[in-house]
Amino acid sequence: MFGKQTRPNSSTILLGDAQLEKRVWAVAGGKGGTGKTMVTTNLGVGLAILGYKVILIDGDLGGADLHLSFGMPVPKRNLNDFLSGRVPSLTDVLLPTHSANLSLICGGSELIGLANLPYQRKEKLKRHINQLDADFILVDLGAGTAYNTLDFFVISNEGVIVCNPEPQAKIDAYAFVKNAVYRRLLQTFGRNTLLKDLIINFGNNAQRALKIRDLIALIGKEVPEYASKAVEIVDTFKPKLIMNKVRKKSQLEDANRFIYLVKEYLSVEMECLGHIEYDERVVDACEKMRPFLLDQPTSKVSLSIYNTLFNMGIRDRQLRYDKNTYKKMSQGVKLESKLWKENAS
Amino acid sequence: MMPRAVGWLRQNLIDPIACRLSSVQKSSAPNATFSVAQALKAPQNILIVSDSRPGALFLAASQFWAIRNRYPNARICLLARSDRAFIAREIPFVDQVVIYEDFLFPLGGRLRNAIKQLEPDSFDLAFCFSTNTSFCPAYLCYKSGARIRIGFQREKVPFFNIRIVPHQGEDYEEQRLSLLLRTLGIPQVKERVSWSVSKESAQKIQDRFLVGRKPDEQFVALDVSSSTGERPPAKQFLEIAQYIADTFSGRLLVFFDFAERKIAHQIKDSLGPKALLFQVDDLPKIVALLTTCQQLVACNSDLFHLGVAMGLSVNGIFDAQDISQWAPPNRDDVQIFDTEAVKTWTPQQIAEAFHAPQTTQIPS
Repeated sequence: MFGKQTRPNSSTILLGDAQLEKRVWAVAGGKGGTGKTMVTTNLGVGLAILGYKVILIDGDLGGADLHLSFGMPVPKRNLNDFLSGRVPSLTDVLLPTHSANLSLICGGSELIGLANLPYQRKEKLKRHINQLDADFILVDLGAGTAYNTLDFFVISNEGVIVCNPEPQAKIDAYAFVKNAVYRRLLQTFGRNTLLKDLIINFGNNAQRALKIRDLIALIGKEVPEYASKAVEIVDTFKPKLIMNKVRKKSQLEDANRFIYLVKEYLSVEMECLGHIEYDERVVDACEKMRPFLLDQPTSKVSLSIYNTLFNMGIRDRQLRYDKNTYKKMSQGVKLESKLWKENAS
Repeated sequence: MMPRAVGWLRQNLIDPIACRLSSVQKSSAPNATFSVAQALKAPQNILIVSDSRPGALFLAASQFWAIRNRYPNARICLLARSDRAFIAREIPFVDQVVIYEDFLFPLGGRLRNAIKQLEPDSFDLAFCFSTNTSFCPAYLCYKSGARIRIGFQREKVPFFNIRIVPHQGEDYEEQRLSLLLRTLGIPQVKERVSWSVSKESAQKIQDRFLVGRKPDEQFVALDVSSSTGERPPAKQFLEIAQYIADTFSGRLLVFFDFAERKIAHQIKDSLGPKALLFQVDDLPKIVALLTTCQQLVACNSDLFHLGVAMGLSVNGIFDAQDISQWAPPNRDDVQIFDTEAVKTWTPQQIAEAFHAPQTTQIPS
């Protein structure tokens, strides 16, 4: 701000425009059933309790179910109303929750083919997501590596991969990261036919364990001026990992091995934000259609979620908890839970 | 330790020792005599040292503006303590802001860092805007190496070579500060400095932070952040917050800092959604939020003086000894209460003091 402002002639100092930060987190996982919706829901509730304005978007366009976590069997408005043009703005489909800080945009599944969103609608949706006002926008993405899912993951400031310890989930998570890297490269170099073919052929060569750094070298060989851009695209892609449904300690080492493999073969720096233990009560909370944090504020799963939030560099706006005292967050969550119950009744 | 005791210790024990340790050279330059009039004519590099007490930057802003008007082409640097950086960086009359960490004695890394930041500039002139002249800003004014260092006269503070003796009878701090410039013939600005944010910016901030705000909803602000003097106990803050919440239809905006976060949490726990908590760390945010408030109750003079400058209806809670220093003359909408009295207020007295908030609102 030094010397940037014009010197005032009047007696009122007009302060600089507010630079309000907005972070978009896309939560994906590759495989279905890894707990993406559960993680999105509870991270959102946790952020709201820490004093942030949060919007959760159900980006699972083919199988929307985020609203169920908030006790809404049939949401009054959903994404279809916006995508089909029934309402002009995405803010028109925002639904309040029992927390003033937390709003929800429910997905819709009734439109046939919604999962395969045409380009223009996708662009419209992305544009409107960028216009939403919130400290955090969390997008719960569907399973698989469809272009829509990958594109929403790629546009977010920060992507979170929710993985489970079983091999199938890890393979799918790896495939998701790999596809996201290729998608980023294709979005940048796709207009160059030579490079587009090169990237697609390289990606399709599944028999050999090829490394992204070899692809970057090939890009540099074909078009030398693009080499540094390709490196930048890969370097700036830093998705985070949350290992969910962990049953034993050895499975935590698997997470580190996964991160090592992603670094080795895809040249992507992943950071493990933490792990969440397996707990059958998560299913109970789903049945009750209630966020797990509010249902079991002191459980190990909830403590892991508080820890994950602080590992993501979030600070409590009310200065009650921090990285060292994250367990105390359960006290605030208990109060919030009480408030939700009062509001519900 | 009680804030008043800390203040007393610092003023009567630590600062004098620090002054003795600081070893001021009696005549540092071979040509120690010079023409003050000549030196004040067209300085190229000016240092302004602000006082470290809460509210000092708001009170002195008009003086900074006067200096800028007098020396439009000079490079002006403002030295401010780190906990006031968020205010200092918003002051448009200066070209550079240098931030220092508070230190007690003239030694150690913090002092070295501060001096290191000042060293590259060769200051012609330095103003120290501190009427009670605490050691830290006065010593840094001296260590800036400015040829002319102007400050208020105080016993055993040897850091200035032009010392202004405060006038008797001028109690209000802003008037007292202006003496520094009046004595030197630097013209005063006619209007008081106020603070604002653009309508769009205010709207953005309010939309982000005042979630669930109804179209005509107005608020009352309560500042519980730390102050140098004595404070009412937490229980009394809770009583005041409860009274405001009970009698006023809007929500209560509680401003707090790290040191006093627990009082803020207690209020939040007690009032629930009727209280919204905001850390005092961002000036545009605070100004945008205060514009929605009908009234401000403050025991810290930062937000108190900001509220006064913005034309808000303000209630201050301060030590009796500070009241005349902080109370702006001719402002019917500003009331100041003695902390000692507030400590023993009954709910009835709280109700009498903070009667129904006035309906005047600041134009955005």
